Amino acid sequence: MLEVDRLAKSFPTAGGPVCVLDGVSLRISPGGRMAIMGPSGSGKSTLLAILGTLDEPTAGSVRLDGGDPFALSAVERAAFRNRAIGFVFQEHHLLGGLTALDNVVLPALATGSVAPAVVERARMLLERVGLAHRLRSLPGELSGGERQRVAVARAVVLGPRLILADEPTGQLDAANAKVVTDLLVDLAGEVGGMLLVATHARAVADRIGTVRQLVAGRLEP
Amino acid sequence: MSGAARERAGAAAQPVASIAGLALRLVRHWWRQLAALAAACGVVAATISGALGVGAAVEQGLLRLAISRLGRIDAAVVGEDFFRAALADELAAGAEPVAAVLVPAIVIEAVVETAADGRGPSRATRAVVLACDDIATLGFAGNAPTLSGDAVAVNRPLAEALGVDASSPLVLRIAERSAAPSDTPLGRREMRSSGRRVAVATVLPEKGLGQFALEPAQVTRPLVVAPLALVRGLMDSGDVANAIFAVPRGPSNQRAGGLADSLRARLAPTLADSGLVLAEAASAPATIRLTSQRLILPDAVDRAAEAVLAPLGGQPSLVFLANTITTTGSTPAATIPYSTILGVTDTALPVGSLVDADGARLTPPGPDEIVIDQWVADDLAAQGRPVAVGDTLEVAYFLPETIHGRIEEARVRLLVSGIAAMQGAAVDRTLVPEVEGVSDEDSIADWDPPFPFDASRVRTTPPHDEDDQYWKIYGTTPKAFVSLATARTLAGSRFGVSTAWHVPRDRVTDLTSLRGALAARLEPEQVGIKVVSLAAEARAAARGSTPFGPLFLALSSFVVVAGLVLEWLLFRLLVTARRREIGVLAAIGWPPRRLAMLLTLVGLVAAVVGSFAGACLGPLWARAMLAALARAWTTSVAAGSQQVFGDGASASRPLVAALVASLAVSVGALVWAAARAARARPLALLRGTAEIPGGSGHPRPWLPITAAVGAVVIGWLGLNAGPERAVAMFFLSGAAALVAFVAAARAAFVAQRAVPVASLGHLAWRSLCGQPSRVASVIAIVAVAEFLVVALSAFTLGPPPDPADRRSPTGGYAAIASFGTPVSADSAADLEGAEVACIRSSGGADASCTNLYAALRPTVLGVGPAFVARGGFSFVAHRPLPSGETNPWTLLDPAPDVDGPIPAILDQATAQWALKLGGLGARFTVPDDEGAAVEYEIVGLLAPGILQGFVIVGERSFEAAFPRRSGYAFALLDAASSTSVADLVRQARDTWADAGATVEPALDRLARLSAVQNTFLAGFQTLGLLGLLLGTAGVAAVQAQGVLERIGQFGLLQAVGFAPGRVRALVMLESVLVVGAGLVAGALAGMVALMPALLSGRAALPVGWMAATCGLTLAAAAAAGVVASRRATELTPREALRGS
Repeated sequence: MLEVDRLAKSFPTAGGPVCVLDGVSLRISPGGRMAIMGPSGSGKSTLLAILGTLDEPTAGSVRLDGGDPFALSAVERAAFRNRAIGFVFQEHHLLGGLTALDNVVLPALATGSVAPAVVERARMLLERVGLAHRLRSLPGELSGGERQRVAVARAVVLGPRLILADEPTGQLDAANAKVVTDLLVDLAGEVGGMLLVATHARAVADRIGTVRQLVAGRLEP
Repeated sequence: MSGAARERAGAAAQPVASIAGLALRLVRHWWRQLAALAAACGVVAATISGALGVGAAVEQGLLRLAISRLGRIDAAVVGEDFFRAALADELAAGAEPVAAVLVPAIVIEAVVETAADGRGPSRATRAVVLACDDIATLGFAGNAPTLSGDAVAVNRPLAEALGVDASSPLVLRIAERSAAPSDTPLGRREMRSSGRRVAVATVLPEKGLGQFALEPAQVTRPLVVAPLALVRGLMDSGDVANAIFAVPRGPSNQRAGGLADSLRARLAPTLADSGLVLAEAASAPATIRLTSQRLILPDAVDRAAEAVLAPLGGQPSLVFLANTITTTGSTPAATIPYSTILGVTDTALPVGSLVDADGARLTPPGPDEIVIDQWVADDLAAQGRPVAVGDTLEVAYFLPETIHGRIEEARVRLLVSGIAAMQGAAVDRTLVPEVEGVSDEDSIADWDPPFPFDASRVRTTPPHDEDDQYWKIYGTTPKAFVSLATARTLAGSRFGVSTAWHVPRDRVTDLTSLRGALAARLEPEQVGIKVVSLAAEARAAARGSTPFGPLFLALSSFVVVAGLVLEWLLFRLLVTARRREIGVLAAIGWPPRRLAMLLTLVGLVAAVVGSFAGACLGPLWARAMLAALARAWTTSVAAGSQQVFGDGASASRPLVAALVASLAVSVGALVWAAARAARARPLALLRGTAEIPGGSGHPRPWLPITAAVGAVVIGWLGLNAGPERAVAMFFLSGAAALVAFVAAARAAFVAQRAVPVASLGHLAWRSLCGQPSRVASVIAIVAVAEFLVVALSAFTLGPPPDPADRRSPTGGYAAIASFGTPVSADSAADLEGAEVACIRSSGGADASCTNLYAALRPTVLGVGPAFVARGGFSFVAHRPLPSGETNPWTLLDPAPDVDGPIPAILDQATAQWALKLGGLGARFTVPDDEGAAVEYEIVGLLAPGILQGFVIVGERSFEAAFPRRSGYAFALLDAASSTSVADLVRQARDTWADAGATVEPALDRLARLSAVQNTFLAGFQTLGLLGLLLGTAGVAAVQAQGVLERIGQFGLLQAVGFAPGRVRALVMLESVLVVGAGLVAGALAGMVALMPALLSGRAALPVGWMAATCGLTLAAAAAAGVVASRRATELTPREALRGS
């Protein structure tokens, strides 16, 4: 379960602190899904970055399955992120010199060598996202939709408890956006992870299920 | 899928399964950035490899030269004087054959002149003469010349110096040696030489035999190879030699020094080899007499005789010359000129007793007493002044040792304790050893003694020919006797305290055995014969006085530092360019340490490839440096040195060491950069906004001020510090100043947002403000280079402004002379208008910086009181002086009754670098003539000057340490104002021609010494400049990459109307601004560090070098900017805005 309580984030600027998140609270049950919608600058990406421990809150708390990831050291937090979080970004962020399969197994390399089981799972995932014929392709040889599907596979390869997708379809056409969204939902369900998607797209949000609006740093009911 | 893609995909059939595999994949993908990194690593490796290669090549060159000069000679028996050539056969004989062929030879110095041909002779002094009949056995490369009769071979340097070739006639002049030490009244002080016309049969090339020398030196000395008979004939000697060369049989496989040890164990010189004679004397009764060819028996011989001859009733005696024996009291006094007086232990001598007129043995004379013979008593009575027992006589005699070259007379009053009848010992001619020019003359009027002789005093004309009559009847027989103790007080010297031992003949059953027993008591070194491990010493000396490897590594340090900073910059650039990809890894849970490991592995591939390629290129770099060094050294320091630097092949020897060293430093830099990069925040990396931690992103306003204060304080402390600390203070002060100015320059690049951008320069500055780490790195790299170039260029040595000034590096002396055969102090009297400081010299190696070989036995100079009183030269440090004393040279006077180390003064560079002794108060040892270690203590350190390379001690200390050394082998000439230096040098060369004088203007010697420092400084300047340009080239690479990153910015500028030329100008301005800031910071830091040296006049601001380096570097920076800016404008604004 993900429990977020009165989360706040502000940034210091020359003109004084700018508040990006202002007392955000939310809860997602195990296996649950949620879409966060809101205009640009409303704090969606910041919220996801904090939930993914890429950034730290100014106030409030985040608990995943009862644990506080911000109580961990930097090394422990990296391990936590590797084990418990799966990311999908607006940009695919695939490593250029690696094949699709390489990119998917990348999280496993964070803590040691890649076990054959992980490779097998990566192959399976790529097949699952419709890229069985693209295992050995480099990112430059893939279309935008294909790249994002590889990114989705990478996000779930280690079976994370929480999948965070920040505008995962922001650079895709409607058809590809639907494919990617469906994959996110289906794969999150298959790994039993919670899914939190930040998006502008109503269609995407509706496919996710629960939709919350983030406006000026506040989450509306 | 395209073919290329399929091929790549095939190569990547398996997913990455390890961090190493991932690193390799990234290497393939990031190869462009990594190629630049590899190039930087290559520069570092090539520089280290090249520097170490220079060291190895010079060491190999020195070794090759030192060994080739010896042929296959491994060891040698060498004598201060000549010994029997048969000693070689005796050494070879024995139950166990020696594992070497032993070849007797004569090695001496000579003057070689061209035969007069109407133009006046050309002359080469201090040529080495190798006389040997078995040259082929010595195993030199090439064909050995076959010489006989008057035919000689000369080497090419000598032939070229004299302008002669094969078949030319030459005159070979060899100085005649004085039998008695020249520092004694009976030693000859005027120079004589024997000359002989010889014919040049062949000119030896400057290799192998043509380079023969016993002492390692990088310059080939003039050489004459001659038959033994020719040189023996010239010296009018028998079958003698002064060297026996040991050439191993078959391949030399003995351990180092093994053959020498074997020779030492077998060496048993006879008394004849030691210049001693133990023979039956024609006395009545018969006696056995021990005498020396040098007249005085060395102390070691005395000790041996005490052990061997005393038990047989042997008695020592010491004879000395009384210039006058004069009555005292009434005037006019009666005088007897030129009499010998014998010091004896008893009046019962082996040759007979001293008895009175009644035949009763006289009581031995006590202290201050004298026994005269009846002839003296009668003669004084005949002169109207009869003396009797109890009367006092005054004896005038020469002091036993010259006082700084002058023979001085002293007087002593002795009480007559007896009058010996003319019988027994009183008439024995054998009591006094033979003296050349005295005892061999028929008449006393014919005396040609070496001491001041007043023939008018001698009565040789009848009826008053008493002295001649005595001479004809009794010869040198003593006319008076004193106790041995009294004689030793009056006439004992450092050369010895006995002139003979007398043994009753009847106590000696086997004279041959007795000779053997006495010889066995003497260590060969005690009589001037020693075994030298020539090959082993050559190897030791070839390790060099200057560690060229570390030196060139130091000289190349900036290139290495520049390369490392460049590596760091390029690596950071790589990380910056790939920050999003790295950010993904961080985002998906790669811990910082693992991320750092991945980045390090990626960098390591570039480092390995680059370092390997660079290390392989190192020998080429080394060859270039060696060529430059050979050219500089041969031109300015010592002609003929090029062979030492010519061994380019050896430059590749330290390849592995260089590879390991360069990999270590490069990987160190990469690990550091990777660790810092991995600490960046993942989110910032992902967004591409991360400023990779560089350690200088946050301005620290307190840093410039604190560092500046530190620089000034350290510099002030350096003003009064000792030499070692002053060097450390110089660099510390410079480092602090560097930090201050770099920090200040860095602080200047902080944007003032309130001020709108008003010009292109302002825009360039504001752009730089946005890249704090990069700006700080570039400023630092350029500033360090400029600092080093400026700071060290200031120490370039030039001629002194006033060479006549006694505090100048010449000490105010006009010329410096050294002699193959030591001269007497009065030999300088012929030099008109010159004051000559005659200085004793122990011989040995030149420890100055001009000698590339290590000085295993440095030359010790003994300076007299006149030199000390005159003072001169500048000291960088010395022991505290007594109150009221201002002359540091007085520290050389040893404190009375202190049995401590000998106070010594050395040039600072000699003490610190060449001999590696340390600073003030350091103690060290130098072997004396018998090989025993004598301890010295540094009491003063001289500023750079013409006395570099010597250990300077007081004359008294020198005589104590080297008692067998006689005469002066070194001199400093102070010209009168009316005499030109050229005239003085010419005059001195003529005056001391027979002594094999090498006379050189002091300024010439100073120029050679300065040339060494200037050569190294020039090397540093050149390499520093190279590093500066390399740094700037690195800046260009960084700039080009930076342009790529900011391509969108440039697109925007063009979109809003900036012409391409203006965009290019902006990029160029950025380059010039940042490099200029570094130059200013470095130059100012250099000036701060130099301040103490500038204030004391030891350095001058190198304005030329500053202008040259700043100009060149700014030009290079501008060029780099131009290259980088082409990238900025080659895309259309739309393409640029889209970040294509």
